[in-house]
Amino acid sequence: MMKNNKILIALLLSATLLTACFDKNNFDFSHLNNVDAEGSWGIPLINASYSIGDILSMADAPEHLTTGEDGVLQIEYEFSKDSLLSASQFMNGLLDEVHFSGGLSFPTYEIPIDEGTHLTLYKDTIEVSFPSDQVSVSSASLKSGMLTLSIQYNLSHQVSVSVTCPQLQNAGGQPFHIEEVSTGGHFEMTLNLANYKIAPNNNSFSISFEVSYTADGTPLPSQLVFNYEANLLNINFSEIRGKFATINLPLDMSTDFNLDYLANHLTGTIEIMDPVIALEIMNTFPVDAKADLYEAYLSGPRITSSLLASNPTTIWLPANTSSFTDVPFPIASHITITPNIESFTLSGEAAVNTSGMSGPELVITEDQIIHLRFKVTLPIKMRVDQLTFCDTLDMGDIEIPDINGFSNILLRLGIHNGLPLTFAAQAYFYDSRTHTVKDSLFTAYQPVMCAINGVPRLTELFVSKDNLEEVQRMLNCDKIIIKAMLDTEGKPAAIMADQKLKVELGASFNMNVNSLVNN
Amino acid sequence: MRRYITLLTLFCFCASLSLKGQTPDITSFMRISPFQHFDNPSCSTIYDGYFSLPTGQIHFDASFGPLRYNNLFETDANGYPVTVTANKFVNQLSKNNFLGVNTSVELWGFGFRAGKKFFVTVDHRLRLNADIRYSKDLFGLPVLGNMAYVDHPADINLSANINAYHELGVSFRHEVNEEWSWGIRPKLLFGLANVRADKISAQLYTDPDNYSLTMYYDALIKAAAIVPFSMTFDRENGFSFDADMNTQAILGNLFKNPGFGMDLGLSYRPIPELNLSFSAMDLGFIFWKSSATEMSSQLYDAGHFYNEGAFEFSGLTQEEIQHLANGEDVQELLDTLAYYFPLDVHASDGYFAPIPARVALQADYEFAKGQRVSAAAQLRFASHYVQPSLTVAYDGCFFNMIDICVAYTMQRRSYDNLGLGIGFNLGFLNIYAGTQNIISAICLKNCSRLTATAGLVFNWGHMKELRKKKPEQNN
Repeated sequence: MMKNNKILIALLLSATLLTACFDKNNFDFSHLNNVDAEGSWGIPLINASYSIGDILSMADAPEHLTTGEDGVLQIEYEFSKDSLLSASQFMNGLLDEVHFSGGLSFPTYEIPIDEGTHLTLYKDTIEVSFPSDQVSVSSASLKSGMLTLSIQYNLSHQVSVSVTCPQLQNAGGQPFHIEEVSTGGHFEMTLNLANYKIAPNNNSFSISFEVSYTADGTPLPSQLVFNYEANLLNINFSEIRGKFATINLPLDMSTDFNLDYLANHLTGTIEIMDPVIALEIMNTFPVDAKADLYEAYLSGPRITSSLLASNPTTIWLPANTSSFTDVPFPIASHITITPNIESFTLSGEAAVNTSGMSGPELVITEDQIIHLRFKVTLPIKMRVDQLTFCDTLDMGDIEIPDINGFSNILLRLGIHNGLPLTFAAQAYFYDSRTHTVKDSLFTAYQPVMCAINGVPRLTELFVSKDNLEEVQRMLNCDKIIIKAMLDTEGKPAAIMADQKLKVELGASFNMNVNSLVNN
Repeated sequence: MRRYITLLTLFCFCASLSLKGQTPDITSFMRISPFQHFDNPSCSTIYDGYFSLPTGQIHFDASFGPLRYNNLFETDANGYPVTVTANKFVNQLSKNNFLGVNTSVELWGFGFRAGKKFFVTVDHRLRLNADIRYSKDLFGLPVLGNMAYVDHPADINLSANINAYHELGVSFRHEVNEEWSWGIRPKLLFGLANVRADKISAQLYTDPDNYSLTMYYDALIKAAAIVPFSMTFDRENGFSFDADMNTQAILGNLFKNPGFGMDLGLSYRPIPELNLSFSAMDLGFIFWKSSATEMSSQLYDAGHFYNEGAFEFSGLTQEEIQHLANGEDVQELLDTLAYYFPLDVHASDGYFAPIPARVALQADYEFAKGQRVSAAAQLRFASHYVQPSLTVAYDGCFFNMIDICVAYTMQRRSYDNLGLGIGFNLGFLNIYAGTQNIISAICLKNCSRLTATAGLVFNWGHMKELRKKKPEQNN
């Protein structure tokens, strides 16, 4: 019993002592203000593949970027001269508006006034000629035209007026002739010549008019006065048959040709291999034409690069091509340019009907025309020698992330370069307020080696920042200056549409939750 | 005799090498408690009968595993917690970790001796058990970051089975002879609420070179309750939950989640001082039907981030960068990611869920009159894992009215489970209280387990047999 009591007392005493250890402060959580949680995180940011086309497209380049049949990327600009020569334009200039006028005054004392006597009072002929230095017309069909005739005279008697043009025939083949009676001292006539046909003699035709009088015994004024005015207006031909002189036309064309997609070009040139100017023509004239090109060049500030292999370069434009047809356009096998190119210029002279008047008789209709369509193609098959670009990104509007709580930041850039281009890049963090470069992304230019025989090469670049102040200093800059340099290592390289630059960007960092919470 | 004890001790020690989770209630070692049959229906009681009101037994047992105060908080000189020590907590985690809660309240019950050989009990208890298992990486990934998992995947797993139910049991104990006795208790179970997460699983792989992330993901959760509720989810309106708290509706569902359970026990007394017993408890299930709801989520092929059943993110693609550069909202991009992780919430016809069963071996040796030592090894079968435990206990009766029990339980990564139970028998009234972890009461900071048991029960015919008499002594 005594032993049992000792055990009981020992147990109760132990329980009392243990209970005294409780601290209620341990469960007052109002002082809790720290989280000790530091983890290491890795996040993939970018996994993207870019062809040169994608990169240029991001820089707003263009619809002008295409893929050639051989898979080579190319920059292509297309422009056209919709109407180098139009037949209607040519024909309608052959006869300008023709104006004729004349008059006569004579005494009447010798004119018999016996009733029934018929007398011709006035008669004249107008001669209209085609320009013989341009054309020798056998026949011409009028699409439109007006003949106006106005005769003024000081006779109150009734007179007859007749107008005759034997070379002017209506649709029925009848020569033109009209007779009208006029009273009151004036005669007016307007004649629509549409659908009339002219069959000139010696490249000209004549219009004759005559005023006659039948006496009725009434005395005449002592002096008779006649004045006339005749006009040929709005003469347009629908067809001319005849011989034509050679038509020479200036050929001056220019268009924007912008290569400045990426950034400001600093130094270096691009040697483009096998540039192409494709020319398509449509010549519905029944005669050949030719174009002598004196200049065809790409130009921009401090750069002019001719595409012509010889000067002049003559291109024949064959006759009777009712749809666009390719025409060979020999140019230089390679050109040297810079990305500053801004425009393409072409100048020369075109000639239609080179045989001229010694050639056969031709039938020219109003719908005949010559169109030219040019396509300048620069395949990205090039040799690049340390072509250097520079661009500035403005960070002013970008919200700077708060990086407190982060440490040991490591950016890993994996580049699988499938392009035949070696390039290098560097970014500088620039503070324009103090005009100082605060830091650079890499310690030195980091080259990314080109693919070998089409097999991509992996280049890994690391940016490690252990020091938060260093990172903060970079982020506080308001501008990032990016410099990039391209090189084909002395060899020409063709950029294919399926060649890619695969970019993997990942970031790893340590993150202290406590710092994040307290910030 | 020593040979028996030595073998039993060795067995129990070996079984406890990977112990974790809930252990037998301390009352099962207290000789004057009438409720030893709750842990083994073949156990004898020293009373001729008892009855209890809602105060008969209230039992609470919570195991936190590594989720203990000292692992989570750092205190200042005044003892105030000032820092959440997340890294320390993660470092204390095992590959798999457990959080368990067991609570039972005896609503009413009685028991009586039927003849010389039988003892019959009827009891109605309200019970709650919650078993949650989580992997280390559930917390390890958000705290340590994914770069801690470059050489192996972050394996996030969470499973849970939370049952609230009431049980009506009738037990029969039959004493075959002086050496053998057996007991059985069939039980009707009626579910109140259940949440069963069969799997919430995700594996995240991180590429050490480019940090690409690959994730596999799968989740299935079932829930039911007698409170009528409905859950819906759609992408535009989000998650919505409505519950009908109408008492009549709740009472109407009180018996709509039926189940059945069984407790079995067998005892062998080779010598009067030694009792060896085996028990298999809570063998049963509940069919959850009222407001049964199923939530599932599996990776969906919503775009190029999906690849052969996995979500793969290697960084933003060219098009996505372009979209962002064009001023598209980042949120819009994140919203599209949500399509890969759809959540399907729908009512189900019902489902079965087991209640956590347990089997135990126990040995009691009465070395002096009223003084007994015991050892119990238990395996508890939670829904997705097994919890072994080993308990050794001393129980002593003093002045024929005071019962004091000291117990020590070994669990894996938890060796501070010193228990204490005290009971007073005041003739017709038995009052008792105890805990399996007395240290938790005075050192909560390092407490991985919190248990408490208390009760008040009326009895009669007590103290009939504190020790079986040896045959020769009977003579």
